[in-house]
Amino acid sequence: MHISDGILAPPVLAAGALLSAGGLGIGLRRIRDEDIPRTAMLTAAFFVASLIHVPLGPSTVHLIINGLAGIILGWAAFPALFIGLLLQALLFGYGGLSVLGVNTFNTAAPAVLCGSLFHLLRRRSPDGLIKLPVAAGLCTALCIAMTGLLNAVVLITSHSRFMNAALALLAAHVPVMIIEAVLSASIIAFLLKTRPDLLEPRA
Amino acid sequence: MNLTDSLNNHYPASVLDRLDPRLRLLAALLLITVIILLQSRPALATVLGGAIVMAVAARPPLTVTLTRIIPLNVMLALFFPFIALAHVQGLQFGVSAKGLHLFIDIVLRANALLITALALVGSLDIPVLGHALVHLRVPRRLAHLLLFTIRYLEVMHREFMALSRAARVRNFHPGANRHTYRTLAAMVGQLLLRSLDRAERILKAMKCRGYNGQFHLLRHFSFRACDAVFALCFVPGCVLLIVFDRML
Repeated sequence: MHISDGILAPPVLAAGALLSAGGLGIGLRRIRDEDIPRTAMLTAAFFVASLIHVPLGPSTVHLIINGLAGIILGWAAFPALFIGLLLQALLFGYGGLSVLGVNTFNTAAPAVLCGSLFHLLRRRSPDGLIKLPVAAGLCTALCIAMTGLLNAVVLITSHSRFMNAALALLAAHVPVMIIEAVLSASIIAFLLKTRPDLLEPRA
Repeated sequence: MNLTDSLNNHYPASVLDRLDPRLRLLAALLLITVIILLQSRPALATVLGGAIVMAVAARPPLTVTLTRIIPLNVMLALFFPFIALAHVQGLQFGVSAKGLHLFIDIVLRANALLITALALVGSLDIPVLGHALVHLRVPRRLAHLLLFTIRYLEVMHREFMALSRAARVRNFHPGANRHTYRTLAAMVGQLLLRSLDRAERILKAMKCRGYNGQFHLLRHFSFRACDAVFALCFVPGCVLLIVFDRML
């Protein structure tokens, strides 16, 4: 879910750009030079995954897949999602350059939080109390909910007339939230079976 | 939208190609900031006109122009009822004047921003964009990540297409059911694994060639007389726009 060019107020855009710059700074400092190919390949893979049409009822939705990016990349999700959004704006014209900061923050900040929450659950919860795929599903659902809330908040703070649009946008996140939770849980189950070491956080 | 086509989208040669790519990025950044700050409709209309003139000079292919402008305006049209419709009574709705004015400003601003990006940034080949960003002192790792991602985006896309063909060969028909979600999850999981394996091989190959965190850029840009002329017209133009806007 992108917010387009031309809608948000200047202070909101400036705040988004500054917060994203901060997040990018932290994310880049946590990546070592050796991690660059790994992070870039995962960025490319997440970008491709976000192009998939996932059937839902009679229609299809696109994944945002930021929750999973947060689980696998940690703080490096900031640069990864920034590059993904930049390329989407440049290659397809989704989103836009002026809203890049806001869109990056609204997807990456929940991703980092959701990633930390998942790893906290993984380390702290007694064995078998909460299964990891279930934890991943819950964390990614929470992540999309937070992205939806942030998107609604930037609209509402931009103009008083955007209230209804913000509520509609928030409602549009609900199906994505469900589908992302189901898919992320299955993806984590798949990775646990094939390469459990992947879920060790790096950055 | 075809990813390969988008990645290889070359604009035909234009006058804008003579400009230093670094200057074009800075000019885009300045103009985007100005457009965001404009408040009056005549100023917005002027800047939209200016952006269109630049876009005509940049000669973007028609398909690129249409596939950017149509979706943006369809999106904005969906937005229209939420901001411009006012409840009259019962099931009657009317268009409120305030909402309509707000909507017109949004349409002008959004299109001006999009066309500016299309003219000044879209016409840059994406690898050139990456090099220009490095020379503009964007954090080194961010630029490297961008260049690597661009390099392997298509590789990953091909991997995914192969997985999706393999699924179709086994008579996979996506639908809204559990089987589809499990299959798609396995495909995305497999894609992630392949990306990691590939990354390991890339890193090893890079280390064999003495990688130590440096990525040597062989492309350098020069700021020439025509860049100075462009900057001398562009910057005062932006200042005039802001002044014009505040006077109205």
